[in-house]
Amino acid sequence: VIAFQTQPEPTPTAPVAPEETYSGGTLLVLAYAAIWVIVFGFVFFAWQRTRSLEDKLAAIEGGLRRSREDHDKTRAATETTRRSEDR
Amino acid sequence: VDSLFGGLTLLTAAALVGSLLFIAFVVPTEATMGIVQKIFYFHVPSAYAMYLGAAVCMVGSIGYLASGKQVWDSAARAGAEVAVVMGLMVLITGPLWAAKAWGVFWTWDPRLTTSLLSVLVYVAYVVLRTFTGGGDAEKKFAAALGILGAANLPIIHLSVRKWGGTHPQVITGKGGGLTDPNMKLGLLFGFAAFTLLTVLLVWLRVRQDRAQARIDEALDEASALGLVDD
Repeated sequence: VIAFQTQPEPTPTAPVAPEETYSGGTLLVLAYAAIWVIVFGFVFFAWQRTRSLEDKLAAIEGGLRRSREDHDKTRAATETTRRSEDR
Repeated sequence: VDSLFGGLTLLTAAALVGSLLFIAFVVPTEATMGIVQKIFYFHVPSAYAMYLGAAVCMVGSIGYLASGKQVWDSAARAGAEVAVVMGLMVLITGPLWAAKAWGVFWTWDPRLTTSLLSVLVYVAYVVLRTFTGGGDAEKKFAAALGILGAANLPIIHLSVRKWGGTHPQVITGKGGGLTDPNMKLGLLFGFAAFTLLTVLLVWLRVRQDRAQARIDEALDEASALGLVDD
C-alpha cells in the first residue's frame, strides 16, 4: 500500500509532432547515404566476385592450353619414334 | 567489351554524381515539405529501376522457359537481383520521407504494401537461386516466380488510383508539386542515372554468371582430359 501511495501521478504525454522528432536534413542525408551504401556494396561485391571468377577461368584455360600443347608434343614425338623404328 | 563496360561504369558514376550535385545545389527546396522532399528525386527513379530489373527478370524467365538457354537464365537472375537492390532503396528512402511527411515510417497503404510484396517476391527468387542447386527444375521454378513477380507490378502502379491511400501521385497526377522546371530536370537526371545504373548492374551480374558457366565448361573439359579429379 505504501509503495502504491508513493507512486507519482502519471502525467499525460502529448504526441510529439514529427517535425520535432526528425530533422528533414538528417532524414535526407540518411536516405542518400543508404542509396550510396547499397549501390557501392552491390557493385563492390559483384565486381570482386567477377574478377575472382575471371582470374580462375584464365588459370584453368591456361592449364588446358598447356596440357593440349604437351599432349600434341608427346604425340608428335611418339609418331617420329614409331616412323624411325619402322625404317 | 571490357572498354565498353569501363566506359559505361564511368558514365554511370558521372551521371549519379552529377544528378546528386544538381539535386543538392540547383533544384529548389519545396515550400511545403522542405528539404526532405529532395528524397523524391532518387526514390522515384529507384522504384522505376526496380520495375526495369523486374522486367529483365520476366523477359529472361520467359526466354529460359521457351528456349532453355543459359543466357536467358543469367539475365533473369541478374534482373531479380537488381530488382531487390532497387526495391531495398525504395523501401528505405520512402519511410525516411514518410517519417517527416506523415509522422510515421510505415503505414499499410496499398502502394506501400504492394511494393513490399513485390520486393519480397524477388527476395524469394534470389534466396531460391542462392540456396538451391543449379538444376533445371530449380531454374524453371525460379522462372515461373520471375513471371509471377512481374504480374504484381501493374498492381503497384494502379493501387493508388484503385484503392486510394496516402501515397502521393506526383508523376501520374500530372506532375503536381513539381512547379519549378529544375525540379522536373532533377527528376529526369535521376531517371537517366538509374537507367544507366540498372544496365550496369545487370551487365555486371550477367558477366559474373557467364564466367561461372565458362569455368564449369572448362572444368568438364579438364576432367575429360584427366587433368583434375571429378
